[in-house]
Amino acid sequence: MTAASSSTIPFAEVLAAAESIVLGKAKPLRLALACLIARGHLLIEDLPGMGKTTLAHTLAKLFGLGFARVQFTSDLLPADILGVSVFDRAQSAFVFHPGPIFTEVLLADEINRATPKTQSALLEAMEERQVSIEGVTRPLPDPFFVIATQNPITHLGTFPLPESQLDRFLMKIELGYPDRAAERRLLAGGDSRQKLALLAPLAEGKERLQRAQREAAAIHVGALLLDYIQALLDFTRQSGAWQTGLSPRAGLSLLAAARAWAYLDGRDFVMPEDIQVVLPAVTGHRLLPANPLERTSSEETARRLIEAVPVP
Amino acid sequence: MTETALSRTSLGGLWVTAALSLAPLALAQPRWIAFLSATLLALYALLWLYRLPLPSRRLVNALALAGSLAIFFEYRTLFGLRAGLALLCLFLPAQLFVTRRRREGLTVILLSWFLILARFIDDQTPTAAALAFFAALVSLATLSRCLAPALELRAHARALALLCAQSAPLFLVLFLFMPRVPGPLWGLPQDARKGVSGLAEEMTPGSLAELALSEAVAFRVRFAQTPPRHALYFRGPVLERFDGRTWRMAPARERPAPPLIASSPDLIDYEITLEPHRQRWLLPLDWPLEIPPDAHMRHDFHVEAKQAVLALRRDRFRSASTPPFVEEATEVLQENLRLPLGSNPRTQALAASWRPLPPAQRVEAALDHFRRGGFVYTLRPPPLGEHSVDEFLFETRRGFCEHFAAAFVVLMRAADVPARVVTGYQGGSHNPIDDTWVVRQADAHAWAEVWIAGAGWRRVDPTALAAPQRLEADLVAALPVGDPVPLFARAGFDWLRTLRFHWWALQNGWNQWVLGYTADRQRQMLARFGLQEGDWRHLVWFLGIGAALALSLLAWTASSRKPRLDPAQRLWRAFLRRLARKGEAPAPWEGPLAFAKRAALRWPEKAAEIERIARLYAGLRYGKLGEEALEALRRAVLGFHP
Amino acid sequence: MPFRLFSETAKRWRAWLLARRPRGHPARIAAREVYILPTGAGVAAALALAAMWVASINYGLALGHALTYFLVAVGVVSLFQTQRSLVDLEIAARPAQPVFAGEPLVFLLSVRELRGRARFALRIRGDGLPPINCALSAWGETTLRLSTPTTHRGWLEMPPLVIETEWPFGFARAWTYVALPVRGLVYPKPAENPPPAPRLPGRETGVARGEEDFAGLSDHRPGEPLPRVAWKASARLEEGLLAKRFAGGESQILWLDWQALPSALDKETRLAWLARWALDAERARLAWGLVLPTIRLAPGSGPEHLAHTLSALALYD
Repeated sequence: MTAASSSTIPFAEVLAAAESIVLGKAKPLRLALACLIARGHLLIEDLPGMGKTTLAHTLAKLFGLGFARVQFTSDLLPADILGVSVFDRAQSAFVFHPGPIFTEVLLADEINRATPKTQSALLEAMEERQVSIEGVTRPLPDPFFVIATQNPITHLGTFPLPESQLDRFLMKIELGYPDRAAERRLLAGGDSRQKLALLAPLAEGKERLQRAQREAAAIHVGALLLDYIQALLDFTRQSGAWQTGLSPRAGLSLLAAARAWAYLDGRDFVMPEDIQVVLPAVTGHRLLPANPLERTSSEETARRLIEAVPVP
Repeated sequence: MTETALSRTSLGGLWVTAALSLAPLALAQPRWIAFLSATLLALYALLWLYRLPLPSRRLVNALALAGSLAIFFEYRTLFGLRAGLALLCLFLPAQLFVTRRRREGLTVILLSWFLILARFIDDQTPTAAALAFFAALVSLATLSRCLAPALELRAHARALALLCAQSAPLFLVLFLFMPRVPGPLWGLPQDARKGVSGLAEEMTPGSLAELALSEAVAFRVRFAQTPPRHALYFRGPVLERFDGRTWRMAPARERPAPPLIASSPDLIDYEITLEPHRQRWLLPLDWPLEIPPDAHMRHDFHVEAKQAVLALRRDRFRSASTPPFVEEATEVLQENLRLPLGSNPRTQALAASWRPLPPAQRVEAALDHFRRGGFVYTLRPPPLGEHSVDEFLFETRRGFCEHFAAAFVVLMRAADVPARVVTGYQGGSHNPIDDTWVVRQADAHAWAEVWIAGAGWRRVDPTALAAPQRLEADLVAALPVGDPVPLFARAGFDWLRTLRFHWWALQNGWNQWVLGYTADRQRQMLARFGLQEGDWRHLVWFLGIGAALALSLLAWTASSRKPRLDPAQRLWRAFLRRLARKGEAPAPWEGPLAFAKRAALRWPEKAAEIERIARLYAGLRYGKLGEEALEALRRAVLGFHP
Repeated sequence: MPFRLFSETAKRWRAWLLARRPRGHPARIAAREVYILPTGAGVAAALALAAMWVASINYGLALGHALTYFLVAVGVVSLFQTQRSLVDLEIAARPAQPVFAGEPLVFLLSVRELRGRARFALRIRGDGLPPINCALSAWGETTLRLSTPTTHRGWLEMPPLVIETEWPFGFARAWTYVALPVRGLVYPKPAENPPPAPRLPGRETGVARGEEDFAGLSDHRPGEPLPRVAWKASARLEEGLLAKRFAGGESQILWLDWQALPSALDKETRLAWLARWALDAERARLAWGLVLPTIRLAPGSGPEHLAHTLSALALYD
């Protein structure tokens, strides 16, 4: 592990490579990578055409991971994702045809278009990292990383994910419009798909990722930081600004995300800043304002929370 | 603040406080006041026990007014000390009946404090102190009880014990170093003198016998070389006037010439610690030569202080074992020959028969009479009638020292020898534990002095003829079997005697170190600490500075225990202070790196330095960096100048 | 109390002190935030002790000095204890249920002891509210209910707290201010007797939820009419009941429309009427939607929907 003062930042080249394709999205990219390292799943909420797919694909390609993409529609059935057993006459037995979920990076596009039944099938598998069909439990590959995208809920014809399901995503990020410079480069540069095809995967990408996952989980978190996280959780539960406070699972997610962020920073301990940086992404989808009509962004919610609790 | 009604347990606590502080004092009051106080307390206890309603405020006020009137008739004033104490004894229990809220409860507590204090006017023994301390503790516990009635008693006791332990140093500082102002501040009311047993300015048959049963200590003596016990005559009032029944002091006169001291007298140096007796006289050993500067010696060798002895008093004296020779004025000698006309005719007749003899032989003749007359020394003499000396000499023949002394002086005067009664103390108990002599009221004594022309005053103690043991041993040995004996004087077992000696030693120590800690003593002690100019103004400065130091120390420990800053945090704070002077400070929620980034924008040329400090601090505080990093941080912060 | 006399100054002073307090949550009381002044009782006791001191001098009472100094020492040290009674307490708060204007809004305060010293005779009061007494054991925690009167709808910030104590003897009062960034929601007070909810022209308001098209099954909620229970389907369950759900037509929905109210009404009355109608609709198990000039709430029913509706009304401006 690198010391705090060292300049070697793990995965710096990964981020650089990804940024050359997903232009002007350094922070979302880094959050997505942190999410991957923290062994969490990612929800991206944005309008179509913001580069969600490219981002997912880039990450998968860089680490040399298997990639599958499922476009969610209202007629998509659970079996379409998980797989189905078909009677094979040759073997005179049921043969399981694994669904697209049996991959390392799954892009679930527009997840809020599918029916709740299908959604929950996916989310259950995400949570348990295994699929149970007809009494047989089949483990999913490791690493297993789901990037779900959804259109903002205001759009019609969707089934917004219930709160309890949202909790299963470690982070929810928004990509947003690229800034002018990035947009210019986007316009000037070639098609991102072509560039993606040309992208060279990292040597031993998968192994490096798995090692990063192990190392990040072991990063030191002092008692002060645990106090800090607790104080943040307490505030969400007690201030009355939100419908419900953060769950214990949210606390664990915050911790894991902060560790991954610190890891990406090349540090061997977690600092308050790590928590503050990942806070909007980790808590944005878990905290609903007490006033349902209040439209606050994740950033604003998080800032309110951060400013209420002094750093240790 | 005090709107809330007091709980039942708080009221019970107030009652206990009142009872504890009232009991010792009320018992010393006139009987009816003690009875009234006790009745009121008992009544309140009954109301409390059976949860009966309290009487109306108006009724209580009326009662208190009536009581005040009664006290006025008893004392003819309401403002004297005694009357004031009586009023307090009445008001405290009365206040209980109007106590419903915390404010009134506080009144009870403050009144109790006054009563506890008032008890010390008459009694400053260790026992009284212990009782008072206990009462004060109960009063404090009751105060907190009024504040937190739900809390159990044990928790109150624990909190109070802790508080007392914490305040012990401050108490000691105050007691030892707070300048003692020598009192009194204003004239003492006359009635402050009542209630203390001891010698009086007059003597009637039986007045000393009352004292003989009192174990109260009159004074303590420490000798340089102890004279023999039979020579221990401590001189008190000299009584020269006789009206047939009562002996009184004569007014002081000028002495025609200073007394001549024998060429080589046996000198005795000693120190007397005198219990306050509210009279002016001191009690030096016969015959005083050197006396304290604030005292003077009368013509009759009686020594008086300028002011009444109200507090424990310690004086050095020097006495001669042989009487000095004095010229005595004729009026004095005349005074000492005077007898009321027609009183004690048989005595006068007997004495008249001795007149042809030379003076010294007349004395012998009188002593002979005592020696052979079959006289009995007793504390229970039969009552005497009009011609008291006649009856004693020729009929009852039973008496106490004042009977012997008075009869002897009458005999002498009738025989034309000038004579007078001297009262004082004789003997005492030697305590081997601390080598002091304790002289008690029981050692009060009366003897006679006769004037032999050419020789001066000679001491004659006729009691010694009837009961020689009185001089050599003590009262008990001198008394016939069957007479009542003072408790402490009873012949006990050896262990009891030892115990008694220890107790006396304790009392003496108490007197020397607690009660005797006066302005003088304080000055002596401070001088030992190098404060030669023990002026009280210096002391005030000294005390003020000391108190300020002590309080700030206490405040500092109280506050500094809170933020337990680790060393890294201290350095970081120092760093922040430097930036704050230039107007850059982190928000409470801002982490060190985030702040460093902000500060770096402000001081771009210092960016690397700032970031390094922030990283080191973060690593120390949140990470696992060790001593080396701390040292690096220290150097970085000290070398940082924005 | 002497400072009551200067209530205006005191108010300004307190506002200044409050502004200095970091608005952390939870708040931990530091020594320098605790203020202390002698009480009337303290002044009385000091005067009594002075009198006792003078008496001790006058009568030459060594033990009188001792008694007086003992009480003085205990009294002075007790002031530190008074101050330290408040230090290192942690106060957190959260609002309980939202209430209608006029009902008291309850904030739940949790007070923790962080020093390992038992604390006695603490008093906590909101600004202008009656005090709550409490005591804490070492490392202990207690929860108090701070009931705040409400007058109008909207957010109600928790009033700043005054935490005070006179422990141990009542000779001095130590106090501190704590302002926590906590607020509770106050719904508008429903109108007492508004006219019945207007039916929108040309549409019928159903007596109950639409019952035309069967839409599925769902868990039976206590209180739902028995005819709705899907008995056959329920029999297959191990426990609980299922209820039939019907998709209603537009005509079965009660629209609570701001614009449809008489134009003479002022804002608050409108909100009061709307609140009453929403409550009535919920009681009658109707589905309703809400239309305010700025917000449109999709139709629905149930306690959650009611809460949303009332919140929208509470926060409308």
